[in-house]
Amino acid sequence: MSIEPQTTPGVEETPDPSSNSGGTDHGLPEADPEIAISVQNVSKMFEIRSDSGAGLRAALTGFHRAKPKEFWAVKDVSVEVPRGSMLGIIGRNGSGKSTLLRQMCGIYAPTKGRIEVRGRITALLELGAGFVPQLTGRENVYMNSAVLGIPRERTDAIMDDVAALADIGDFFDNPVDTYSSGMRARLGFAVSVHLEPDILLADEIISVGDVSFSKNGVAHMTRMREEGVTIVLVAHGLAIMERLCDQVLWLHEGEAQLLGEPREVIREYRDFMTMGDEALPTDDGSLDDNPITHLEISSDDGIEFGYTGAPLAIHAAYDFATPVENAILTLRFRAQDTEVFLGSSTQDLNQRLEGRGTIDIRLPILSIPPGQYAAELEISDGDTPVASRRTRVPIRPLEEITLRDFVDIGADWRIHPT
Amino acid sequence: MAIENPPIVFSSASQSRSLAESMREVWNYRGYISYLVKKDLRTNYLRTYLGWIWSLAEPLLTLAIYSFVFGYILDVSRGAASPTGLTNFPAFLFAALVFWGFFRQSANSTMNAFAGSLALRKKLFFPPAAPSIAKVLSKSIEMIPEILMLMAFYLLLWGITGIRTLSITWIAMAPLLLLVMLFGSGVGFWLAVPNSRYGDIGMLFNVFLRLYFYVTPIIWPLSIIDGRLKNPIINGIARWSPMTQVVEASRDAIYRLQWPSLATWTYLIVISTVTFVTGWMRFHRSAGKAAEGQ
Repeated sequence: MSIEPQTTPGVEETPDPSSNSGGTDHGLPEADPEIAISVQNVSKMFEIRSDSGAGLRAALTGFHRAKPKEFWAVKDVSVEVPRGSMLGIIGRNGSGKSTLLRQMCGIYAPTKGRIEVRGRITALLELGAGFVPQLTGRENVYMNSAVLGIPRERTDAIMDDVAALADIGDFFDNPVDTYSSGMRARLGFAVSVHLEPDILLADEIISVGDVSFSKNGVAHMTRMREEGVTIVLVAHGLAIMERLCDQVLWLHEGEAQLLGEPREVIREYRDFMTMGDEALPTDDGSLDDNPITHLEISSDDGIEFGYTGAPLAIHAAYDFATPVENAILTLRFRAQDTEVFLGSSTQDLNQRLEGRGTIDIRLPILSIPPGQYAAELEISDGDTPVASRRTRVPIRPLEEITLRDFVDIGADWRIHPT
Repeated sequence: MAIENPPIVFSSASQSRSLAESMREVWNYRGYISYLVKKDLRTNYLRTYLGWIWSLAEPLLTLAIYSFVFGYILDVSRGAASPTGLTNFPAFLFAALVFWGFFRQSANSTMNAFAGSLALRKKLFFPPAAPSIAKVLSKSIEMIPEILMLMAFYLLLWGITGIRTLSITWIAMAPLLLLVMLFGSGVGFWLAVPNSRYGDIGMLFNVFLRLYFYVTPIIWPLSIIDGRLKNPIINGIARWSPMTQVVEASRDAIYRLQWPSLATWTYLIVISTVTFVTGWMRFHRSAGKAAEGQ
């Protein structure tokens, strides 16, 4: 839930150089004030104790059987977020995204390195986490603004806007513990966007709540960005990230895998995500005497997978010692573990194939959902199959990673409300 | 506006905070703390009709039980004579019980509020001491009706016995309560981090408190051990422990109607301040790490 405030003159102010003795050797290059958040070689280690049960006894006797295991959740990450810009952090679950975000707002202290933050932070780690359930929504708004050091009159002035955005009606004056989780989330978000932070740290919030609320959330985030709020966003909504962020940081197992221009980073990340752990297998019918000598996806940028919603080109080569008089070429796609075939064929094109040649197949729009597919090219002479070759075709989502479970048949929808 | 301020720095050093840093941090979060206090008061009292009544009935019932057992059955009231001529065991007991109760609550709330705040602390930044401070403050506010009841009790006694029980020395209660709060929460801060890791600490502490309650001259007059308690150590604890001094000072102020001695004041100020400051520092050295759930 919440709002998490961290006031202006926060935990430690930097000027005394002695505070720097904690292990880093950054010689205090007084950082650029245009940088709102500067993460400098930050690592975070957690100690995992396996003997949690025997705690007190072990402590009293000084008998620690198991040394705590070290787990480095974030490893040597550096990133600078210029004032008024937006940083997106992506990565698989457990890649250290949230740990990094929590360090930016002071919940976790870095084990190594340092983070400098300039400005008033509001952190949304869980919408409404900072609410005191026994106080009403209105009182919680006052509390949150008090924490941020916003004068009461200012809070009075924005109160109506907060209530309007939260859109929870009379519940606004009821204790928060009477709210549904959706209402809490709405209020939490409404508070955070109206409290005019300099810096907003948000963890996976856009996915919270119903669709219209998500839209609202995105709209407000866009507005805040335009107003010059520095935003750090951890989320799964890659399309939103790509649209809003100025830079994207991809964390993998705690390390910064890639940092840079959103399109590029997200593209690499998507590729990585759909790759799975299995290596891409090549041809299966790779007998030496297979007349279809080659079958692969050919894309303009040399990537070996298809994207749902994008064109797909497949390239093949053949070498027939004995001619195929009445060649019919068929291309079939089959999803893993299904018997469903989707395909295309040259049924009516009575082609003669002899010797060597190449085949290019183009699909104007690949309409099948993302996943692992096998593409099979079969060549038959009349009704008799004479050659076939298969290859794996991974298909990835072009927009957000939302898996649709159907083939888009491109229907024309018309709805006539009466 | 915040832009001209020096940046907030988080580093491995910020896991443990210096005295000045932690104090300033708490001050910055005073708004948050005040709402936590409001929450406590509301939860404890506004939602149960009998809330306030219970808060008054509980000490009164305790007082009645102790008065009956110790004042009547065991009759230890011989040493309860006041120079004012008043000899009233319940009044003698009441003065001490109020202060003891405040000590116990200050220590326990400080200790327990920290453990209770750890889950939220993962989602929300606040100074680690904030929940404890809020809890102690709300307990202080809840003390007000009890203090008023204590005063009413004494005034009633004046009406009944005709012996004057009101005096300017009553105002010594205010600084005494403050010292008890400092001392109690200092003890609580010493124990808060260990207790958050091993729940046994809290249990052991309450067993210890029960023992300490009986060693302190609350239900018995200090003069009762004259010449009888031979063990020098136990004798020393019974006479000179901080809570003995608090209890005796409170009786001076409202029962015997004399000012506590300068020596008592000095002793209490020093011991409370030292306990609080060392507890606070001990707490802030490890609270950050404890809050990360390690």
